[in-house]
Amino acid sequence: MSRIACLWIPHFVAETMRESGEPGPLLVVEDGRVLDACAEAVGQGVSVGEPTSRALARCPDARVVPVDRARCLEVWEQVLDALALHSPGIEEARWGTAYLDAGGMAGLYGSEANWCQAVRAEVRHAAQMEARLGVAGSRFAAWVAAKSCEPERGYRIVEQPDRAFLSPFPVDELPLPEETLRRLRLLGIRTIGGFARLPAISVAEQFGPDALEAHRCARGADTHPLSGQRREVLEVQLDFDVPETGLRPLLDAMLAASQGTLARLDKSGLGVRRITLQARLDGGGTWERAAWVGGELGKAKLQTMLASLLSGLGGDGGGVASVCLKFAGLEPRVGLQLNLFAHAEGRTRLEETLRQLAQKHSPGCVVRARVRSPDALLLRDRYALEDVDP
Amino acid sequence: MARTRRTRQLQHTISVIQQRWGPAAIRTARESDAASGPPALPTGFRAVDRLLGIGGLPRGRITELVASGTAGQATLAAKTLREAQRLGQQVAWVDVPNAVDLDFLARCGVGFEALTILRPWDFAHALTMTGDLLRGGGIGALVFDRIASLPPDAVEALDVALRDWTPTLDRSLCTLIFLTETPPDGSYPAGLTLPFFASARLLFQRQGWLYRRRQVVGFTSKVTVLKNRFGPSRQAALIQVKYTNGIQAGDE
Amino acid sequence: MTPFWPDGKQVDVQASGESPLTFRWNRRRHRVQDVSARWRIHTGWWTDAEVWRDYWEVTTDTGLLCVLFRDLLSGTWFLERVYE
Repeated sequence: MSRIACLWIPHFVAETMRESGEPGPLLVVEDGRVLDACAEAVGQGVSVGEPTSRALARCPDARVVPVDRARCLEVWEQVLDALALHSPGIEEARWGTAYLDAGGMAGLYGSEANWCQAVRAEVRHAAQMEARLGVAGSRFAAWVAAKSCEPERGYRIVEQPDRAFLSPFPVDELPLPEETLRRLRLLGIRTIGGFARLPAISVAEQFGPDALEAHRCARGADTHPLSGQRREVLEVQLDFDVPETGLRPLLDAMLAASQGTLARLDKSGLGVRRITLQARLDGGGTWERAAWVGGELGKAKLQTMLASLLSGLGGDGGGVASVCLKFAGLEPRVGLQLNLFAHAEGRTRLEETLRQLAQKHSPGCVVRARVRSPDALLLRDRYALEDVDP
Repeated sequence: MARTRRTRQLQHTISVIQQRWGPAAIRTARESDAASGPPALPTGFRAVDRLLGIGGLPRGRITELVASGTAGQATLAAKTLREAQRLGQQVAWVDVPNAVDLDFLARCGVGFEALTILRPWDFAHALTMTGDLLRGGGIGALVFDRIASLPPDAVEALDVALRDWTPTLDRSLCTLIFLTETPPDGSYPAGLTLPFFASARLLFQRQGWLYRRRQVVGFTSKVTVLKNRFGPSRQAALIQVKYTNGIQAGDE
Repeated sequence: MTPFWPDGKQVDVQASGESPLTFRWNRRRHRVQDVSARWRIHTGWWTDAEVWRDYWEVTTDTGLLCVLFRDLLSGTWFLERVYE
C-alpha cells in the first residue's frame, strides 16, 4: 500500500521574503495584489489574491515588499535538496508544498514519526523554516493531514483508511470552485464524507467532469503514481592548461563540452531547473553564478544563458584555470505531451507515442514480442519480449 | 404503367441531385441504414459480425466481452486484432495479469511487428498506461486484459478512466475491447460502470468440447449480445474454436 | 489473454498417483474432468538447466481447458496455460 507525505511550509513566500529578525505583519505583493501574507496578517483578515490596498485596510501595520522570485526559487530549491536526503521521490506541487514518497520509511527510520521529525529537522536546518508533514495513503489526505496537524507537533500520520480520515472534514477543503461548493451546501452536503458517498456518475452529471478529480480525492484515491523529481546533478568540467582569458573561447569550449549532456537530457525527456557556473581563477580565486532555466534546455538557450553568466566574469580579473557547469533539478519536461511530436522526424506517430511511453514508465512496461526459437520444445523459449527503446 | 413512369422519374430526380450535390446528398432508406452506424472492425467470426448488425465491433467505441473460463472471448479478441492488422492498423494488448500468451496470439494470426504489449505494475498503472497510449494515438485496436472482481478504488478509477477515454476513442476510431472475467456462477463484478460505457457487450458461454480421438481439439460457444447500441441485442449465435495448426475460427 | 506463465504458476494439486485430480487457482478449486492430452519433455539434461516435466492438458468442472505440468525434478505442480 502506498504511503505519501505532504510537506507544507505555511506562508513560505512571506517567510522567505522576511528579513532576518524583522518582526511584525508582512505582505508580499506582485502586480498590486497580495501574493502571500504571514500568519499574523492572515489572522487580521488578509486574503491571498486581494488588492494590496484592501489588505492594508485590514492590516495597516503590515510591511509591504515586492516578491523576489529568484530568492524564493533559491530557498525552495534548498528545501527540495533537503527533502531528497530523506525520500527517493519528491513531487513538487507549488512553493511551500511538496509530496514525498513515504513508502518504507517506517522500516528505515524506525517509525513514520521518526521520519517526519527527521524531515522537519532537515528543512529547518536548510531553510530555517518550520514545515508540517502529513502522511497518508493519497496526496489529498496527506495534504489535509499536514494542514490539520497540531502546530507544536508539526506532523500527523493517518493510520486509518484515507476515506474515513477525510470524511468529517468540510467540503471547503476540496479542490472545487466556489460555485460548486455553494451548490453542495445547498444540497446539504457539508462534509467530504457526504460528497464521497455520491455516485461518480451523479457527480459528473451534476457538477461536470472537473468535479470528478475532487470526488476521487474525497474517496482517498490517487490515480497516478508520484511523479518524482530526480535530484541528480550533471556536471561538465573543463580544465585549461593555460588559463583562458577570452570570454568567447570560454563560451565555445563550454558549449562544445556540454553537447553530450544536452543530448542525454533531450533523449531522456528531461528539463533542467537551473544551471550553475563555477570558475577557479588563475591566482586562486573562485567565482560562481547561477541562472534558472525552468524547463527544456537546448543548445541555443544554453548559449544565451552562458553568455549572460560569463559577462559577469570579465570584471573579476585573471584568466580561468578551470570551469564547472552544473545542470541541476532534472525533471520531466513540462508540456511533454504524447500527442506532440516536435522531434518526430522520420518517426511514425505510434513510434513516437511508444518512445514517450517507454520513457515515462519503467523498463519492462512497454514491450514488443519476437520469435526467438520457433522449434523450441518449451513454449517459453519460442518467443521473447523486448523493451521498446525509449 | 403509371407506377413505372413515376419510378423512372424518381430515379432520374435522385440521379440529378446526386450529380449536382454528390452521392451522399440523397440516399435511399436502405443506404441510409447502412451509413448510419459507425465503422466496424470484423471479429474473424462471421456469425458474430452479423449479430452486431454493422459487420463487426464498433470502431471508436468500447466493446466488452464477458465470459467465465474457456469460452472463446480471448480468441475473438485476438482474431479482431488480426483483422485490424489486416487493415494496416497497429494494435495493442494491455496485459494486466502479466500472463500474455505469445504462442496463442501467434496462432490466432496476430503479427508481432504491429503489436505492442503493455505490462503494468497493477490495475491503476494499467489505466494510466492505457490512457497515455490512447491519447498518444496510432493504435487502431486495443484489448484490455482484464477486468475481474476489483476493489472499490479500482472500480472508481476505471469509471473515471472510461469517461476520460470516450472522447479520445471517438476521435481516433480506436476499437477498445475489454475482457471481463466472471466466476463460474456468471455473476458480474459489483459496481462496474463499464456496461454503461460499452457500446456492445457480448457474453460467451461454452456449450461443449470438440473431440478428435478423445483429445480436445476445440469447443463450441454461444455468443449472446447483451447490449448493442448500433443494432439488435438479445440475439445469439454459435461459434466454433478449433486448435489445430493455428486457431481456427468458425461458425455453426 | 489466455493466461500463460512461461515458467509455470505453482499451484496446489491433489493427485492420484501421477494424475492430477484437482488444483487450486484464482481463489477456487478446479476438478479435472477429462485428460485431453499428456506428454513429457525432457531437455537440457546435458546442462545445468535441465527441464523434465510431465504435461497434462485437461478440462475442468469450472469450464477450463488448461495445461498443467509437473516438474519431475522437484515434484512440484504448475499451471502453464488456460485457454480462452
